[in-house]
Amino acid sequence: MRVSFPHMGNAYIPLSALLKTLGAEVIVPPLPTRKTVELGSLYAPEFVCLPFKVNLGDNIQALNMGADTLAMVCGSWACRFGYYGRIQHRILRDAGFEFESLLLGRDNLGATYNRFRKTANRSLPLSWASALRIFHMKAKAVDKLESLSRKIRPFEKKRGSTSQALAEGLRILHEARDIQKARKAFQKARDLLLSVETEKSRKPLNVAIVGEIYVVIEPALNFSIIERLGEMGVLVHPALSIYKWLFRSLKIDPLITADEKIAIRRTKPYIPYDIGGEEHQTIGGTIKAAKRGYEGVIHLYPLTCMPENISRVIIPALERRCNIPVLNLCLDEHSSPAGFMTRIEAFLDLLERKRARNSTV
Amino acid sequence: MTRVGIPRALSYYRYFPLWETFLEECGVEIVRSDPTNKLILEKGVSHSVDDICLPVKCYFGHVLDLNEKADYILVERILSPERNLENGFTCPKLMALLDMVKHGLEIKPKILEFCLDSRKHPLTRAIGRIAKSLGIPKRRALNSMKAAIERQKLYESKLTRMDVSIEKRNCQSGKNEEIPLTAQASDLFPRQEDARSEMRKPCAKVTSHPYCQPKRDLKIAVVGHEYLIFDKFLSHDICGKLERLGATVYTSSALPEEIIEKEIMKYEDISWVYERDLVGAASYFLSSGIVDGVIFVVCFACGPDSITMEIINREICPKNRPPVMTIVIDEHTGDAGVLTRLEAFCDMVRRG
Repeated sequence: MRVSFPHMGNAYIPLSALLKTLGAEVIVPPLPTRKTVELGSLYAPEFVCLPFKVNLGDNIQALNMGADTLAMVCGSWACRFGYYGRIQHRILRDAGFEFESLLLGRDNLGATYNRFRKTANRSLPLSWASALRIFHMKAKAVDKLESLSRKIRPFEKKRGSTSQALAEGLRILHEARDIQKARKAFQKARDLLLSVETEKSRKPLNVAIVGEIYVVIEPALNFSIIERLGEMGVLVHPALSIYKWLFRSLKIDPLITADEKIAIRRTKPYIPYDIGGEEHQTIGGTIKAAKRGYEGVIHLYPLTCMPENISRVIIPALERRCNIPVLNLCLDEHSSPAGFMTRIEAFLDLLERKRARNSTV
Repeated sequence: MTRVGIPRALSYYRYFPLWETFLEECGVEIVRSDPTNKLILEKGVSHSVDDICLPVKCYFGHVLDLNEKADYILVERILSPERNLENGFTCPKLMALLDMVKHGLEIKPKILEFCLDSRKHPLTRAIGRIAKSLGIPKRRALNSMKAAIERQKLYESKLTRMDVSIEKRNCQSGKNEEIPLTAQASDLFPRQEDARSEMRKPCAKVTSHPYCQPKRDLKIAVVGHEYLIFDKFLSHDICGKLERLGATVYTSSALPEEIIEKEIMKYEDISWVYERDLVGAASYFLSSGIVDGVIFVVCFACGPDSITMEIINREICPKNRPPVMTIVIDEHTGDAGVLTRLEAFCDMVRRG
């Protein structure tokens, strides 16, 4: 079984560890680029949301690399994401590709569990247990490394050294095959990041990033906004991370559950019902940023995303009430890095000025 | 007297008998927003986010139209409509429409909430809440509620006439009776004449057009959301244009629930209730052979429809014969463009 799955930031590290431990051969498509987006848009419906197109592009690249099984989650939520697997696999079959679907949903957990009976080299429950263990460990490690790099980056002496160390660290982590090696790899990656030369005297701006999970996490779509902001000397605080997203529905980490609960409570006066996306993290994250005294918020969302569109309508009211500037950026396959960065630079200039004015008064 | 404004958009086309009868019986003056026109749409577009769907922009325009005219505005929040579904809900935008109006628009009138979540509460509670916030005594509210629900049921039975299935029987037995469903459906809406007369003007030329067929020899189904196909301005009066081109028009909302339930069983389920209806209707029209062609009307940036159209085009269409056309509408769509496509479609169906 040669399994592949669409990209989502660094989610490929824990996911491929999970599938490899279950005995499947994993085909990781190349990290998404503009080419992936174009490839996906060629086959995707016209006004479907952007992540759909990128995922489709990833799948096509993986199939061209020889994958014979495509994995995806599915379900029936108010957001379109639950239908991605069903439609994408239908589109690909119509386009002439042959493969098997591995759709993981609440109704077919048993079927997914049994799917690996042939490939697992130990007994099935044992393989699953160790697979889930390494999955959790690697997801958490990726999360820790990413957040550490965000803290170090604004202070680095040589521009780009943190990103280099992070990339190297993630590579080591990805190559570690079992949990002992992964632990060692994590230590090594952490040391790599900590050894980056820093200059602690700078006073960086604090900016929160909220919005739709995929565009916040996927550097190919947001033009590596987290990295670039860090290099411009900004402490970035994304409201979402891969680890949070992967383990949100499993409810095994009390920290994530508590964080979600707080966000939902903060969102209640604005959107009292669950509308299926990350709207509570967007609204709650903006309020949290204001409470913590951050200088600004950047709201990212893909074109026609339903939950984020609703948040986008409500955010101006929030901006006035919480007195925090928010930059709304809508992304689609036609956005260009230059225009995107110009707007961010202008926004940061405004924040800088506001801070300077406030400190002199 | 208290004046309550009702925006003539979105679920108005589904729930107007209920809302209007109830408010009238309670002795409240009703103010409807004008039928959608250019000004309303422009207002809505300029007061909303760029990439939200057209019906929501239009709804904003209607709410703003009522800004000066009313003391209260009835705003809907439909979480799950009256159906026997365990896990059915509507599009997120309908769920959060009230929040968008509350926080996204600055309006003077107070907001009356019509919050329908039939998974948890019956319809009566949604209406009861309106009465409570208007300060109407309980007994009067209860009586009005009864009348309103009766009217709503009458409307629904008129709209979803069982004629479609009778029609089917006639088709099979060789008889060919014509039942123009749209004409009746749109006659059910109050005071559509003002909208219609306005829309008829440019179309008067059409009747004298050489391509215009005086006799009705085509049967065409129009599948789309009610707020789109029954709004003559938004949909560019697609149903009327088809009728003038010599087609008998069937709409998806004329199909009774039983047919839709039966059709949807053939495919994997969808949890958006209104879109589920569309898939069921499309499947019925495409497979039953009662129509010569099917036209899907979608608006640009409609979230659920981007998925359901793909399901219809890829899962339902290949199995069935009649020709299919999809018309995507946004605020820039031109009237002439729509007409050209409809004419071409009718020609194609006639020759094929």
